[in-house]
Amino acid sequence: MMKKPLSLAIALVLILSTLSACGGNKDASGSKKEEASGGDKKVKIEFFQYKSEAVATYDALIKKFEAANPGIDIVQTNVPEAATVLKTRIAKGDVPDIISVGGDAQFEDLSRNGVLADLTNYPGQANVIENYKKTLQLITGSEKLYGVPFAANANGIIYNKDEFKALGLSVPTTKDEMDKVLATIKAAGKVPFHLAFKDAWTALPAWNVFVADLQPATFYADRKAGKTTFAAGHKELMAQYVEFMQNGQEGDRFADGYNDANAKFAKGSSVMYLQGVWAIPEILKANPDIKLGVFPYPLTNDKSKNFLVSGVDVLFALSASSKAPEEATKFIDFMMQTDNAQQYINEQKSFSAIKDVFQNDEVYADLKPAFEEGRVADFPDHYINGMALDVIIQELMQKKNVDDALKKMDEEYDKLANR
Amino acid sequence: MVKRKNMGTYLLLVLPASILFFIFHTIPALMGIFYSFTDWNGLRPTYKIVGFVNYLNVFKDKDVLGAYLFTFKFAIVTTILVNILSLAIALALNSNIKFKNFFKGLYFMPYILSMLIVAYIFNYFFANFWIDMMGYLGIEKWMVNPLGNEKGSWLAIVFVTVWQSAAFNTVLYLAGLQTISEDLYEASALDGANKWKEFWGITFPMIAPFFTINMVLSLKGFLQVFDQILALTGGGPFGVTRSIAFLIYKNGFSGNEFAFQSANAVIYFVVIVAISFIQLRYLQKRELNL
Repeated sequence: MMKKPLSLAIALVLILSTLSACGGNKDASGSKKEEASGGDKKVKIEFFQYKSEAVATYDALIKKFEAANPGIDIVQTNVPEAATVLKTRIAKGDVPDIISVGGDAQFEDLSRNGVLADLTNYPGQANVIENYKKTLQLITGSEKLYGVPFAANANGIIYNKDEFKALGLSVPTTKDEMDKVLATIKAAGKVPFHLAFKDAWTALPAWNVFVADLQPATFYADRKAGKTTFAAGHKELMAQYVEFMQNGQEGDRFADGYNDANAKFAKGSSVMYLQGVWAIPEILKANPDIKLGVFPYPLTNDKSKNFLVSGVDVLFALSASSKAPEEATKFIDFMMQTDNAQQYINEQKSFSAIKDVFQNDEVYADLKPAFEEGRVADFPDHYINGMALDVIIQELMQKKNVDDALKKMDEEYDKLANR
Repeated sequence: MVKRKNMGTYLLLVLPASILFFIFHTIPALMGIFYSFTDWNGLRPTYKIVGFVNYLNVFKDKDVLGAYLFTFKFAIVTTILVNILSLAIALALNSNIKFKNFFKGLYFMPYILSMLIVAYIFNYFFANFWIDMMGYLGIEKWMVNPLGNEKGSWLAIVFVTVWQSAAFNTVLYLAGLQTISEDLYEASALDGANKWKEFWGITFPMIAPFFTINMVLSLKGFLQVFDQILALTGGGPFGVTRSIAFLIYKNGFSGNEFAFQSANAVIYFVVIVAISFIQLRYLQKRELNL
């Protein structure tokens, strides 16, 4: 039997430890508000951003910002599965001050549901290229701007320049030239594309270009009006897409995910790689010596129809419920300064949404004509919000049943429309 | 009976825990039940009460049905394998072997590691070593990453889960085996019983309560499978390994189905309680009959 004083003491210790644990937590969350309202204390701003590739770049820029603004403490948050994490946090009312996402379905959700502040009248918008502002308006279906476009991406075919040289290949600009390139690579016993279908979404970048280049111009409007279906309008392009995706490595194409494939392509497993430019920093991390280039998908023989798919890769948005919108805006102002925007796109190998900030990396020399001629299209999958497209396409890659995939797309589309 | 003057101490011990439990468990659970009757999508500031609509829709949803089938298949197979394996390990560890404590420690190791870490290690294992291993063995058909394979992915998840969770059940069985008095074995040895008879006649009946608790705990735990799915396959390929808990989390938050998946969660809660209850009833009756 335990003696009474001893048992009491243990009980007390236990209670104190639980209480102090709660207290500790409270302090951590409470200090944010306190600091935000206090004048000379540091204001803590949470900067939630979804690009794991960009953490180090932001860290450096934040350091520079904090040196110039000693009263503001920017805390960068980057987590895996950022979209889901952000939504769980919003569901419990814990919204980060600055939210940086891409111009995609998630951004549509956030702005439609009143999570984000209206930034239409934010002065910095004047420096943003008009086209990217229009893209955001198309995505949200609203005249208002709930974010400031900051960086853009480009979705082309990444290729290994040394391999191209060794095989005597030049960059293809038409479908016929592309077929020849594929045939030459295969004849040399090499792999055209390293595919990574273990991650469902890795088949989507190519799908987006097939849709952007080949679907009837009014398809989405017609689908909305009930005048067409995916089964009718996408059948041909889907068949071509499946055929194109057969140029992968031998063996299991579902073995690798995105990260594995980046590393393997960097070590020369294939001559080309079907990923957007966002993969380039990761590839260079795995092999700093590799010489890369990017060209737009040549899917037709009519060069004017071979679009470069480019979307808003990074935008900054403000929480509608931020306790310190002024300080948060100050950080956005800072990021939008030309020198900082330049540093970002240089390090991230992306394109700026800000006027007069240009990406001059030689990696992108083959993309220049498309940008100059305005042969640029937005990501079509940004317009079918909420559809589990990645899962449908992943199944298509395994089973190659085009009709089944299109039927599922029509079903999902109707399911969403009826909600 | 507890003496009156000790009451204060007992209350001091019990109250903080129950208050914490109420705040962090009961209240969120009640809120979840409330939201299941609304049309909230998880983001919108407003919502309205819609009654049982979500509950009716749960029964019509193909994804939910698929997740139920997968989860039950997974939970039943894993429960059986874990219990056979851990009982076998416990028997071996309880016998007179050298380095007994070393092996006890070794077999408990997987349980110390978090499921997520184990899953990430196996992710690498399946993507690289597995394929090489099958190539070396000349089984070309199996030279694929099972995690990305429609037919193999659930078996790979079962394998990793058994590897990690058998440790805990082994400890429970070991505790059970140590409650059996040596006298019984001596008596059976005198009567000339062989090892097989000894197991079914003495060992197994004597650890019946441990068998019950192991079966109930494993099935309940595996029905709630989540971490390993998230880390190993993310529900893939094309959704064939989505467990119910995973579907609730994934579609509830990123699929804008917060209220709908809350209804799914409430139904699932009732299902698990019912199963655990039936299991306990049945297995405890069996204990008495042995």
